Amino acid sequence: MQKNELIAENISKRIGRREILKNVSLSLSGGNVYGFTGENGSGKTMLFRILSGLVRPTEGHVLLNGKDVHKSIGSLNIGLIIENTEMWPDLTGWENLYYLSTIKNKISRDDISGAMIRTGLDPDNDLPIRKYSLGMRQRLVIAQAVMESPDFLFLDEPTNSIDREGTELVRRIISEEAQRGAVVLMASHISEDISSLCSQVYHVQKGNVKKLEGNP
Amino acid sequence: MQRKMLFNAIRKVMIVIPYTLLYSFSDIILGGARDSTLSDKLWYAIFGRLTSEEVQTLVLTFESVGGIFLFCLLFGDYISRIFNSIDKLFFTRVPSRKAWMVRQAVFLYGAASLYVFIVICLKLAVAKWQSPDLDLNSDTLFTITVIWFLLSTLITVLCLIVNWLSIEHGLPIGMISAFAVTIILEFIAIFHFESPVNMVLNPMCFNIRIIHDAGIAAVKILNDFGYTVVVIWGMCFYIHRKDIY
Repeated sequence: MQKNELIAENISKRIGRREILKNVSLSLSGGNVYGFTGENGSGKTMLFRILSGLVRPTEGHVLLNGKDVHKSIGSLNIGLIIENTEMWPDLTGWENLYYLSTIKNKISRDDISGAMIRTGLDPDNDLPIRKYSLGMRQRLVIAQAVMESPDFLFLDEPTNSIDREGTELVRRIISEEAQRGAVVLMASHISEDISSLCSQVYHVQKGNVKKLEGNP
Repeated sequence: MQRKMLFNAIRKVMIVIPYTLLYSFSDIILGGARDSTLSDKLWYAIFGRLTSEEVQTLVLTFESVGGIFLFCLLFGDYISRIFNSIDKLFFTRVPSRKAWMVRQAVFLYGAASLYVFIVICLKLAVAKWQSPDLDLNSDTLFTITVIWFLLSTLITVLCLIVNWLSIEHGLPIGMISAFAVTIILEFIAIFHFESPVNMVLNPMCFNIRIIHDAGIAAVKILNDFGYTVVVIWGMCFYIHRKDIY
Protein backbone atom coordinates (compact mmCIF):
# COMPACT_ATOMS: atom_id res chain seq x y z
CA MET A 1 0.00 0.00 0.00
CA GLN A 2 1.29 3.46 -0.93
CA LYS A 3 2.34 5.57 2.03
CA ASN A 4 0.54 8.90 2.32
CA GLU A 5 2.78 11.86 1.70
CA LEU A 6 2.44 15.63 1.91
CA ILE A 7 5.01 17.79 0.15
CA ALA A 8 4.96 21.57 0.27
CA GLU A 9 7.44 23.38 -1.93
CA ASN A 10 8.45 26.99 -1.34
CA ILE A 11 5.05 28.23 -0.20
CA SER A 12 4.64 31.94 0.28
CA LYS A 13 1.47 33.86 0.98
CA ARG A 14 1.06 37.60 0.72
CA ILE A 15 -2.13 39.52 1.36
CA GLY A 16 -1.64 43.07 0.21
CA ARG A 17 1.79 44.09 1.42
CA ARG A 18 1.74 41.70 4.35
CA GLU A 19 3.75 38.53 3.98
CA ILE A 20 2.00 35.86 6.03
CA LEU A 21 4.10 32.85 5.03
CA LYS A 22 7.65 32.97 3.75
CA ASN A 23 9.06 30.26 1.54
CA VAL A 24 7.83 27.26 3.54
CA SER A 25 8.88 23.75 2.49
CA LEU A 26 7.73 20.56 4.19
CA SER A 27 7.91 16.85 3.54
CA LEU A 28 5.60 14.84 5.79
CA SER A 29 4.73 11.16 5.65
CA GLY A 30 1.85 8.99 6.85
CA GLY A 31 1.89 7.30 10.24
CA ASN A 32 3.15 10.39 12.07
CA VAL A 33 1.65 13.28 13.98
CA TYR A 34 3.37 16.58 13.19
CA GLY A 35 3.01 19.39 15.69
CA PHE A 36 2.94 23.08 14.81
CA THR A 37 3.47 25.62 17.54
CA GLY A 38 3.64 29.38 17.50
CA GLU A 39 2.01 32.50 18.82
CA ASN A 40 -1.39 33.76 17.71
CA GLY A 41 -1.04 35.36 14.28
CA SER A 42 2.22 33.60 13.49
CA GLY A 43 0.73 31.96 10.37
CA LYS A 44 -0.18 28.45 11.61
CA THR A 45 -3.82 28.62 10.54
CA MET A 46 -2.93 30.13 7.17
CA LEU A 47 -0.41 27.33 6.66
CA PHE A 48 -3.14 24.76 7.36
CA ARG A 49 -5.55 26.54 5.02
CA ILE A 50 -3.00 26.41 2.23
CA LEU A 51 -1.91 22.82 2.88
CA SER A 52 -5.55 21.65 2.93
CA GLY A 53 -6.31 23.41 -0.37
CA LEU A 54 -8.72 26.05 0.95
CA VAL A 55 -6.45 28.98 0.11
CA ARG A 56 -4.07 29.29 -2.84
CA PRO A 57 -0.51 30.27 -2.05
CA THR A 58 0.99 33.32 -3.74
CA GLU A 59 3.97 31.14 -4.69
CA GLY A 60 4.83 27.47 -4.46
CA HIS A 61 2.62 24.40 -4.48
CA VAL A 62 1.36 21.59 -2.26
CA LEU A 63 1.31 17.95 -3.33
CA LEU A 64 -0.78 15.39 -1.46
CA ASN A 65 0.11 11.89 -2.64
CA GLY A 66 1.62 13.50 -5.73
CA LYS A 67 -1.50 15.50 -6.65
CA ASP A 68 -1.64 19.28 -6.56
CA VAL A 69 -4.08 19.95 -3.71
CA HIS A 70 -5.51 23.05 -5.37
CA LYS A 71 -6.38 21.15 -8.54
CA SER A 72 -7.66 17.92 -7.03
CA ILE A 73 -8.93 18.79 -3.57
CA GLY A 74 -12.21 16.90 -4.02
CA SER A 75 -10.54 13.66 -5.07
CA LEU A 76 -8.23 13.72 -2.05
CA ASN A 77 -9.29 12.36 1.29
CA ILE A 78 -8.92 15.25 3.73
CA GLY A 79 -10.19 15.66 7.29
CA LEU A 80 -10.16 19.15 8.70
CA ILE A 81 -10.65 21.12 11.87
CA ILE A 82 -9.79 24.74 11.46
CA GLU A 83 -10.55 28.05 13.17
CA ASN A 84 -14.28 28.96 13.03
CA THR A 85 -15.37 25.57 11.75
CA GLU A 86 -19.15 25.82 11.60
CA MET A 87 -22.01 23.46 10.84
CA TRP A 88 -25.75 23.89 10.26
CA PRO A 89 -27.07 25.09 13.65
CA ASP A 90 -30.63 23.83 13.14
CA LEU A 91 -29.70 20.25 12.27
CA THR A 92 -28.85 17.58 14.82
CA GLY A 93 -25.28 16.34 15.15
CA TRP A 94 -26.05 13.19 13.19
CA GLU A 95 -27.85 15.12 10.44
CA ASN A 96 -24.88 17.47 10.07
CA LEU A 97 -22.51 14.55 9.62
CA TYR A 98 -24.93 12.83 7.25
CA TYR A 99 -25.20 15.99 5.16
CA LEU A 100 -21.40 16.18 4.86
CA SER A 101 -21.13 12.45 4.12
CA THR A 102 -23.54 12.71 1.18
CA ILE A 103 -21.04 14.91 -0.67
CA LYS A 104 -18.72 11.95 -1.25
CA ASN A 105 -21.09 9.08 -0.46
CA LYS A 106 -18.24 6.94 0.85
CA ILE A 107 -19.59 5.91 4.22
CA SER A 108 -22.76 4.37 5.60
CA ARG A 109 -25.18 5.65 8.24
CA ASP A 110 -23.63 3.20 10.69
CA ASP A 111 -20.19 4.70 10.02
CA ILE A 112 -21.57 8.12 10.95
CA SER A 113 -23.06 6.80 14.18
CA GLY A 114 -19.77 5.01 14.86
CA ALA A 115 -17.79 8.26 14.44
CA MET A 116 -20.10 10.01 16.90
CA ILE A 117 -19.82 7.24 19.46
CA ARG A 118 -16.04 7.28 19.00
CA THR A 119 -15.94 10.94 20.04
CA GLY A 120 -18.27 10.37 22.99
CA LEU A 121 -21.46 11.73 21.39
CA ASP A 122 -24.87 10.11 21.24
CA PRO A 123 -25.99 9.65 17.60
CA ASP A 124 -29.62 9.50 18.76
CA ASN A 125 -29.46 12.91 20.44
CA ASP A 126 -32.13 14.90 18.60
CA LEU A 127 -31.08 18.33 19.84
CA PRO A 128 -30.11 20.81 17.12
CA ILE A 129 -26.44 21.64 17.50
CA ARG A 130 -27.16 25.27 18.38
CA LYS A 131 -28.13 23.78 21.75
CA TYR A 132 -24.87 21.87 22.09
CA SER A 133 -22.20 22.99 24.55
CA LEU A 134 -18.86 24.18 23.13
CA GLY A 135 -17.26 20.88 24.10
CA MET A 136 -19.96 18.85 22.34
CA ARG A 137 -19.58 20.97 19.21
CA GLN A 138 -15.84 20.42 19.22
CA ARG A 139 -16.36 16.65 19.58
CA LEU A 140 -18.76 16.77 16.62
CA VAL A 141 -16.20 18.67 14.55
CA ILE A 142 -13.65 15.97 15.38
CA ALA A 143 -16.17 13.27 14.42
CA GLN A 144 -16.68 14.85 10.97
CA ALA A 145 -12.92 15.12 10.48
CA VAL A 146 -12.27 11.42 11.10
CA MET A 147 -15.52 9.79 9.92
CA GLU A 148 -14.31 9.18 6.35
CA SER A 149 -10.93 7.74 7.42
CA PRO A 150 -8.95 10.60 5.86
CA ASP A 151 -5.44 10.21 4.44
CA PHE A 152 -4.59 13.74 5.59
CA LEU A 153 -5.83 15.20 8.85
CA PHE A 154 -5.42 18.91 9.62
CA LEU A 155 -6.23 19.71 13.23
CA ASP A 156 -6.09 23.29 14.42
CA GLU A 157 -6.41 23.34 18.23
CA PRO A 158 -8.38 20.05 18.34
CA THR A 159 -8.72 19.93 22.15
CA ASN A 160 -10.12 23.47 22.45
CA SER A 161 -13.12 23.67 24.81
CA ILE A 162 -12.97 19.97 25.64
CA ASP A 163 -12.85 18.71 29.23
CA ARG A 164 -9.99 16.59 30.61
CA GLU A 165 -11.70 13.25 29.87
CA GLY A 166 -12.58 14.39 26.35
CA THR A 167 -9.03 15.59 25.78
CA GLU A 168 -7.71 12.10 26.53
CA LEU A 169 -10.26 10.66 24.11
CA VAL A 170 -9.28 13.10 21.35
CA ARG A 171 -5.59 12.33 21.85
CA ARG A 172 -6.34 8.63 21.52
CA ILE A 173 -8.29 9.23 18.31
CA ILE A 174 -5.45 11.31 16.85
CA SER A 175 -2.97 8.58 17.72
CA GLU A 176 -5.20 5.90 16.13
CA GLU A 177 -5.56 7.96 12.95
CA ALA A 178 -1.78 8.23 12.64
CA GLN A 179 -1.38 4.48 13.25
CA ARG A 180 -3.88 3.86 10.45
CA GLY A 181 -1.47 5.65 8.11
CA ALA A 182 -2.83 9.19 7.94
CA VAL A 183 -0.56 12.22 7.78
CA VAL A 184 -1.69 14.16 10.86
CA LEU A 185 -0.85 17.84 11.27
CA MET A 186 -1.79 19.40 14.57
CA ALA A 187 -1.50 23.00 15.69
CA SER A 188 -1.81 23.48 19.42
CA HIS A 189 -0.74 25.86 22.12
CA ILE A 190 -1.17 23.08 24.71
CA SER A 191 2.33 21.69 25.25
CA GLU A 192 0.98 18.37 26.55
CA ASP A 193 -0.86 17.76 23.27
CA ILE A 194 2.37 18.31 21.39
CA SER A 195 4.63 16.33 23.68
CA SER A 196 2.30 13.32 24.02
CA LEU A 197 1.41 12.92 20.35
CA CYS A 198 3.94 14.46 17.97
CA SER A 199 6.94 12.75 16.48
CA GLN A 200 8.17 16.00 14.94
CA VAL A 201 7.50 19.61 15.84
CA TYR A 202 7.66 22.76 13.72
CA HIS A 203 7.68 26.24 15.16
CA VAL A 204 5.95 28.97 13.18
CA GLN A 205 7.11 32.52 13.78
CA LYS A 206 6.27 35.55 11.65
CA GLY A 207 5.58 33.36 8.64
CA ASN A 208 8.76 31.30 8.91
CA VAL A 209 8.50 27.60 9.71
CA LYS A 210 11.40 26.06 11.58
CA LYS A 211 11.83 22.39 12.40
CA LEU A 212 12.63 21.89 16.09
CA GLU A 213 15.35 19.34 16.70
CA GLY A 214 15.32 16.85 19.55
CA ASN A 215 12.52 15.25 21.54
CA PRO A 216 9.26 17.25 21.48
CA MET B 1 -31.75 14.83 3.89
CA GLN B 2 -32.07 15.75 0.20
CA ARG B 3 -35.81 15.15 0.50
CA LYS B 4 -35.96 17.47 3.53
CA MET B 5 -34.14 20.21 1.63
CA LEU B 6 -36.36 19.74 -1.43
CA PHE B 7 -39.44 19.94 0.78
CA ASN B 8 -38.13 23.17 2.33
CA ALA B 9 -37.52 24.64 -1.14
CA ILE B 10 -41.04 23.74 -2.29
CA ARG B 11 -42.48 25.23 0.92
CA LYS B 12 -40.62 28.47 0.18
CA VAL B 13 -41.89 28.55 -3.41
CA MET B 14 -45.48 28.28 -2.14
CA ILE B 15 -45.18 31.75 -0.59
CA VAL B 16 -45.85 33.09 -4.07
CA ILE B 17 -49.49 31.94 -3.76
CA PRO B 18 -50.62 34.53 -1.15
CA TYR B 19 -48.46 37.18 -2.86
CA THR B 20 -50.06 36.61 -6.27
CA LEU B 21 -53.56 36.41 -4.82
CA LEU B 22 -52.96 39.63 -2.92
CA TYR B 23 -51.93 41.61 -5.95
CA SER B 24 -54.69 40.01 -8.05
CA PHE B 25 -57.23 40.99 -5.40
CA SER B 26 -58.70 43.90 -7.34
CA ASP B 27 -59.04 41.70 -10.46
CA ILE B 28 -60.88 39.06 -8.43
CA ILE B 29 -63.26 41.52 -6.79
CA LEU B 30 -63.77 44.13 -9.50
CA GLY B 31 -63.09 42.10 -12.61
CA GLY B 32 -60.31 42.96 -15.02
CA ALA B 33 -60.26 44.55 -18.43
CA ARG B 34 -62.50 42.88 -20.98
CA ASP B 35 -59.77 41.61 -23.27
CA SER B 36 -60.81 39.36 -26.05
CA THR B 37 -58.82 36.22 -25.29
CA LEU B 38 -57.46 34.26 -22.37
CA SER B 39 -54.00 34.72 -23.85
CA ASP B 40 -54.32 38.54 -23.80
CA LYS B 41 -55.61 38.45 -20.24
CA LEU B 42 -52.58 36.46 -19.19
CA TRP B 43 -50.11 38.79 -20.90
CA TYR B 44 -51.65 41.92 -19.42
CA ALA B 45 -51.89 40.41 -15.96
CA ILE B 46 -48.10 40.23 -15.82
CA PHE B 47 -46.94 42.93 -18.25
CA GLY B 48 -47.99 46.51 -18.79
CA ARG B 49 -48.53 47.87 -22.30
CA LEU B 50 -46.79 51.06 -23.45
CA THR B 51 -47.96 52.53 -26.72
CA SER B 52 -46.76 55.21 -29.10
CA GLU B 53 -47.94 55.83 -32.67
CA GLU B 54 -46.06 52.93 -34.21
CA VAL B 55 -44.72 50.83 -31.41
CA GLN B 56 -46.25 48.81 -28.63
CA THR B 57 -44.02 47.40 -25.90
CA LEU B 58 -44.73 45.07 -23.03
CA VAL B 59 -42.94 45.97 -19.79
CA LEU B 60 -43.00 43.96 -16.57
CA THR B 61 -45.38 45.57 -14.09
CA PHE B 62 -44.01 46.64 -10.71
CA GLU B 63 -46.13 43.92 -9.08
CA SER B 64 -44.36 41.33 -11.23
CA VAL B 65 -40.99 42.85 -10.35
CA GLY B 66 -42.04 42.48 -6.70
CA GLY B 67 -42.63 38.78 -7.34
CA ILE B 68 -39.10 38.49 -8.71
CA PHE B 69 -37.70 40.13 -5.58
CA LEU B 70 -39.71 37.82 -3.40
CA PHE B 71 -38.03 34.85 -5.08
CA CYS B 72 -34.59 36.49 -4.68
CA LEU B 73 -35.34 37.07 -1.01
CA LEU B 74 -36.29 33.40 -0.56
CA PHE B 75 -33.38 31.91 -2.52
CA GLY B 76 -30.80 34.72 -2.51
CA ASP B 77 -28.69 32.82 0.00
CA TYR B 78 -29.21 29.37 -1.51
CA ILE B 79 -25.60 29.20 -2.74
CA SER B 80 -24.03 31.85 -0.53
CA ARG B 81 -25.18 30.28 2.77
CA ILE B 82 -22.63 27.50 2.23
CA PHE B 83 -19.88 30.13 2.12
CA ASN B 84 -21.17 31.81 5.24
CA SER B 85 -21.29 28.61 7.29
CA ILE B 86 -19.84 25.20 6.47
CA ASP B 87 -17.60 26.23 3.57
CA LYS B 88 -14.38 24.72 4.97
CA LEU B 89 -15.91 21.31 5.63
CA PHE B 90 -17.91 21.41 2.41
CA PHE B 91 -15.27 22.44 -0.11
CA THR B 92 -12.65 19.99 1.15
CA ARG B 93 -15.14 17.27 0.12
CA VAL B 94 -16.73 18.55 -3.10
CA PRO B 95 -15.08 16.80 -6.09
CA SER B 96 -15.56 19.75 -8.46
CA ARG B 97 -16.62 23.22 -7.42
CA LYS B 98 -17.63 24.05 -11.01
CA ALA B 99 -19.89 20.99 -11.32
CA TRP B 100 -21.37 21.80 -7.91
CA MET B 101 -22.09 25.37 -9.02
CA VAL B 102 -23.83 24.18 -12.19
CA ARG B 103 -25.99 21.81 -10.12
CA GLN B 104 -27.01 24.69 -7.83
CA ALA B 105 -27.92 26.82 -10.85
CA VAL B 106 -30.03 23.98 -12.29
CA PHE B 107 -31.79 23.59 -8.94
CA LEU B 108 -32.52 27.33 -8.81
CA TYR B 109 -33.83 27.20 -12.38
CA GLY B 110 -36.13 24.34 -11.32
CA ALA B 111 -37.37 26.29 -8.30
CA ALA B 112 -37.89 29.41 -10.45
CA SER B 113 -39.83 27.36 -13.03
CA LEU B 114 -42.14 26.00 -10.35
CA TYR B 115 -42.55 29.50 -8.92
CA VAL B 116 -43.49 30.99 -12.30
CA PHE B 117 -45.74 28.04 -13.12
CA ILE B 118 -47.74 28.70 -9.93
CA VAL B 119 -48.04 32.41 -10.81
CA ILE B 120 -49.25 31.56 -14.33
CA CYS B 121 -51.78 29.02 -13.03
CA LEU B 122 -53.15 31.54 -10.52
CA LYS B 123 -53.36 34.28 -13.14
CA LEU B 124 -55.09 31.87 -15.48
CA ALA B 125 -57.56 30.90 -12.74
CA VAL B 126 -58.31 34.59 -12.07
CA ALA B 127 -58.82 35.21 -15.82
CA LYS B 128 -61.20 32.24 -16.03
CA TRP B 129 -63.02 33.53 -12.94
CA GLN B 130 -63.54 36.88 -14.71
CA SER B 131 -64.57 35.37 -18.04
CA PRO B 132 -65.73 31.75 -17.68
CA ASP B 133 -66.70 31.61 -21.34
CA LEU B 134 -63.08 31.95 -22.56
CA ASP B 135 -61.39 28.68 -23.48
CA LEU B 136 -57.82 27.41 -23.47
CA ASN B 137 -56.55 27.25 -27.05
CA SER B 138 -53.21 27.00 -28.85
CA ASP B 139 -52.60 30.77 -28.39
CA THR B 140 -53.00 30.38 -24.64
CA LEU B 141 -50.58 27.44 -24.56
CA PHE B 142 -48.05 29.48 -26.60
CA THR B 143 -48.44 32.39 -24.15
CA ILE B 144 -47.99 30.11 -21.14
CA THR B 145 -44.83 28.60 -22.64
CA VAL B 146 -43.26 31.94 -23.56
CA ILE B 147 -44.05 33.62 -20.23
CA TRP B 148 -42.87 30.54 -18.36
CA PHE B 149 -39.49 30.51 -20.11
CA LEU B 150 -39.00 34.29 -20.02
CA LEU B 151 -39.78 34.75 -16.34
CA SER B 152 -38.05 31.57 -15.13
CA THR B 153 -34.84 32.62 -16.86
CA LEU B 154 -35.05 36.21 -15.66
CA ILE B 155 -35.73 35.16 -12.06
CA THR B 156 -32.90 32.61 -12.14
CA VAL B 157 -30.33 35.06 -13.46
CA LEU B 158 -31.28 37.71 -10.91
CA CYS B 159 -31.25 35.21 -8.06
CA LEU B 160 -27.81 33.98 -9.14
CA ILE B 161 -26.52 37.56 -9.12
CA VAL B 162 -27.93 38.07 -5.62
CA ASN B 163 -26.19 34.86 -4.50
CA TRP B 164 -22.92 35.94 -6.11
CA LEU B 165 -22.96 39.31 -4.39
CA SER B 166 -24.07 37.69 -1.11
CA ILE B 167 -21.00 35.46 -1.04
CA GLU B 168 -18.74 38.51 -0.88
CA HIS B 169 -20.92 41.11 0.82
CA GLY B 170 -23.85 39.33 2.52
CA LEU B 171 -27.52 38.97 1.53
CA PRO B 172 -28.66 42.56 2.31
CA ILE B 173 -26.05 44.07 -0.03
CA GLY B 174 -26.82 41.39 -2.63
CA MET B 175 -30.53 42.18 -2.50
CA ILE B 176 -30.08 45.97 -2.55
CA SER B 177 -27.71 45.79 -5.53
CA ALA B 178 -30.03 43.50 -7.50
CA PHE B 179 -32.96 45.73 -6.57
CA ALA B 180 -31.10 48.81 -7.83
CA VAL B 181 -30.12 47.18 -11.14
CA THR B 182 -33.66 45.87 -11.72
CA ILE B 183 -35.28 49.21 -11.01
CA ILE B 184 -32.83 50.96 -13.33
CA LEU B 185 -33.59 48.41 -16.08
CA GLU B 186 -37.32 48.83 -15.44
CA PHE B 187 -37.08 52.62 -15.83
CA ILE B 188 -34.95 52.26 -18.97
CA ALA B 189 -37.62 49.87 -20.28
CA ILE B 190 -40.34 52.45 -19.56
CA PHE B 191 -38.58 55.61 -20.77
CA HIS B 192 -37.05 54.04 -23.89
CA PHE B 193 -39.87 51.67 -24.76
CA GLU B 194 -39.67 52.61 -28.44
CA SER B 195 -36.02 51.62 -28.78
CA PRO B 196 -35.53 48.32 -30.68
CA VAL B 197 -32.20 47.72 -28.85
CA ASN B 198 -33.95 48.10 -25.52
CA MET B 199 -36.67 45.66 -26.61
CA VAL B 200 -34.10 43.01 -27.49
CA LEU B 201 -31.46 43.47 -24.79
CA ASN B 202 -33.47 44.64 -21.79
CA PRO B 203 -34.97 41.59 -20.04
CA MET B 204 -37.73 43.75 -18.54
CA CYS B 205 -39.49 44.45 -21.84
CA PHE B 206 -40.17 43.25 -25.38
CA ASN B 207 -42.06 44.06 -28.53
CA ILE B 208 -45.78 43.32 -28.26
CA ARG B 209 -45.58 41.21 -31.43
CA ILE B 210 -44.08 38.51 -29.21
CA ILE B 211 -47.69 37.62 -28.38
CA HIS B 212 -48.16 36.02 -31.80
CA ASP B 213 -44.63 35.67 -33.16
CA ALA B 214 -42.66 32.58 -32.17
CA GLY B 215 -39.51 34.02 -33.82
CA ILE B 216 -39.47 37.12 -31.59
CA ALA B 217 -40.21 34.94 -28.57
CA ALA B 218 -37.33 32.59 -29.42
CA VAL B 219 -34.87 35.50 -29.82
CA LYS B 220 -35.94 36.98 -26.49
CA ILE B 221 -35.74 33.63 -24.68
CA LEU B 222 -32.32 32.89 -26.19
CA ASN B 223 -31.12 36.36 -25.23
CA ASP B 224 -32.17 35.88 -21.59
CA PHE B 225 -30.74 32.37 -21.63
CA GLY B 226 -27.45 33.89 -22.84
CA TYR B 227 -27.40 36.19 -19.80
CA THR B 228 -27.93 33.15 -17.57
CA VAL B 229 -25.09 31.22 -19.19
CA VAL B 230 -22.73 34.19 -18.78
CA VAL B 231 -23.62 34.57 -15.09
CA ILE B 232 -23.27 30.82 -14.43
CA TRP B 233 -19.92 30.74 -16.22
CA GLY B 234 -18.72 33.74 -14.21
CA MET B 235 -19.86 32.20 -10.93
CA CYS B 236 -18.20 28.86 -11.78
CA PHE B 237 -14.91 30.63 -12.41
CA TYR B 238 -15.27 32.77 -9.28
CA ILE B 239 -16.14 29.86 -6.98
CA HIS B 240 -13.43 27.66 -8.47
CA ARG B 241 -10.79 30.31 -7.70
CA LYS B 242 -12.21 31.50 -4.40
CA ASP B 243 -10.01 31.26 -1.31
CA ILE B 244 -11.85 30.05 1.78
CA TYR B 245 -10.73 31.65 5.01
